[in-house]
Amino acid sequence: MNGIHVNSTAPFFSRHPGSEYSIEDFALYCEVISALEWRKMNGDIFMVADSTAAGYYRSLGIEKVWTSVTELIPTDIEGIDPGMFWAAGKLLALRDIPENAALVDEDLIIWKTLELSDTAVTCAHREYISENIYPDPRLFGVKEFALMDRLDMNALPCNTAFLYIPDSSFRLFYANQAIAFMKECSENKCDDRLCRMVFAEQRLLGMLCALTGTPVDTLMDMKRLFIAQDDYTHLWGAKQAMRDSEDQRNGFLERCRRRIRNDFPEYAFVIEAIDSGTKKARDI
Amino acid sequence: MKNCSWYLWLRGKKIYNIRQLRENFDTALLTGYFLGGSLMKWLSDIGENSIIKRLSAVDKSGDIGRQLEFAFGVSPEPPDPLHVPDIPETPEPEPAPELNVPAKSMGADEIPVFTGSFNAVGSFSGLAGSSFGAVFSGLSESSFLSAVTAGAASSFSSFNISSFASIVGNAFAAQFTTSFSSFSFGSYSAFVSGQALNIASSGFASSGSSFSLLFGKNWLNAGIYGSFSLSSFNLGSYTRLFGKYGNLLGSSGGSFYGSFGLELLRLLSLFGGSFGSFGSFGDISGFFGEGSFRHNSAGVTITAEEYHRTLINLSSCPLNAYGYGINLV
Repeated sequence: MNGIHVNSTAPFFSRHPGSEYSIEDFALYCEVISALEWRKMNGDIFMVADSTAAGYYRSLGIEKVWTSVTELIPTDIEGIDPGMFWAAGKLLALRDIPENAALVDEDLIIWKTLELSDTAVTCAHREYISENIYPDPRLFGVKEFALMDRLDMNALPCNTAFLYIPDSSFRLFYANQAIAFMKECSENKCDDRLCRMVFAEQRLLGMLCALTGTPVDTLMDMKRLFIAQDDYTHLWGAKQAMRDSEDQRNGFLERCRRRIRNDFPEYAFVIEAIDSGTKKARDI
Repeated sequence: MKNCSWYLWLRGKKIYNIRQLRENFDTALLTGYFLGGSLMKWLSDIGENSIIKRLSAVDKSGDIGRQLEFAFGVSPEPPDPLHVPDIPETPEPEPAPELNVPAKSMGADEIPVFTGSFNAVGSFSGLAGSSFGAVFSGLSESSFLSAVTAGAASSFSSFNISSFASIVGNAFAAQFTTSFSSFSFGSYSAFVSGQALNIASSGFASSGSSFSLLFGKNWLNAGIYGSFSLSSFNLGSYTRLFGKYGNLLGSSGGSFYGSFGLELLRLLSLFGGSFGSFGSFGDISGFFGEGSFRHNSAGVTITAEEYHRTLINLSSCPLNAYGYGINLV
């Protein structure tokens, strides 16, 4: 089973205009281990990126971690507002990849060989509909998104840290409707950095599956996410924790280095590449 | 007439050619495909170049749906460029949910963390459930703080009042607007509130929109029990309290919540890039039972072994409070 990582730099530049692009060391280590572990357990994995991100990986010398690095995403993400829709690159990638593949977030590591349905959409897990995260989307005021009236507001959102859609045509259907929503929404920029994005990426997926009668499978049970298990690592909010705590960050970095040396000794070169590359970024 | 190798989904049908498209014309979905970019590709794959040419002239600031209908020959009349469709009334927004946490019976949804370190087994021996419940019946920050300092300071081995004081704010005080019924807990009980891994737009989420995790150990070491009460997420090896827009309050070094305590009110602005995946977890209440834990409303059962493993993972990798499986790295 092939996988893809996706990196669009547009959100970075919307938050750091004029800066030089960089990725934090703990995030880089996580995506390297995510890619290497996927190649060990599941198959090829491709980095689908824009030209800036692709150039960054090459400048660090770590592009060989992935089966290949492909520049498929336009740097301007087709006019979608990168502040509101920081995951737009994922939808563009889903639309444009030439062959089906599983979409894996860079901060998700899958430690096992997956056996996925060839009919159902598989996501990481479902989510509950919470007012604060998933408010009524009709309140977004996106008047040109006429599909809204047909969507089942009770359909549970799908967490897309992992996403595999075996039917290419449904993948295109979902990607297109999500991109259409994001483009329409981008006409009326606002400060919302969450609700519209998770609607477009996660809730809309659940709704479109319900609309089309497409079954949904999950890797994890949403009720048991935080109970100890051995199969999945998702940094999620830990990224912020590591930004805030040098100890936590350093501890995690050291574990990553150890993991790479032990499990992927032929890729030990990435340790020096990441450490020196990200130090340079911090020193600037 | 050429068939495409992949289909458009319109009106419950898979559409492979132009005739099927016209017979099942769906303006809303086709608008999505048009704005999404794949409609042109589909038309190109089936060689419908004349329609592509018409669609290339679509004015995106106008009524796209009507222009599509005309371009496909479904509507005989060209769209009026001056016509502005009526904007449907948007419903009145519902009032924001109250930040109340309803009182529950044993296995309350939010059980604050008052733990010392892992070594402080028995440090809560002085706290009976009812007195603990009384601690949280106050609403204001000052009454909460005074209740804690008066009754609890001596019971906690590493309770840091100063960091607590710096952390508690209105949002926190508002969390305890109702009293908790009595419960007993041991050397660690984890209070979690707010949306799982952040993203509560109004700080503490109301019950039913987040989850909390409670682990307890009988202070008499008579057994292991716990409760899973998932109404808010707050689990960690140190206390962190994030105000709105990621404004950090409190200190990571402070042990306000002892070994476990984490409050994530909002991390919205702290995330970016293609990291996706935020969500919330529904309310699950639980009860105490020796050797096993049961989630009442959803029937989820966690074994003592899973409980142990989860605690061990959390203690060995506090980052698990913010994600999952991070200890596996």
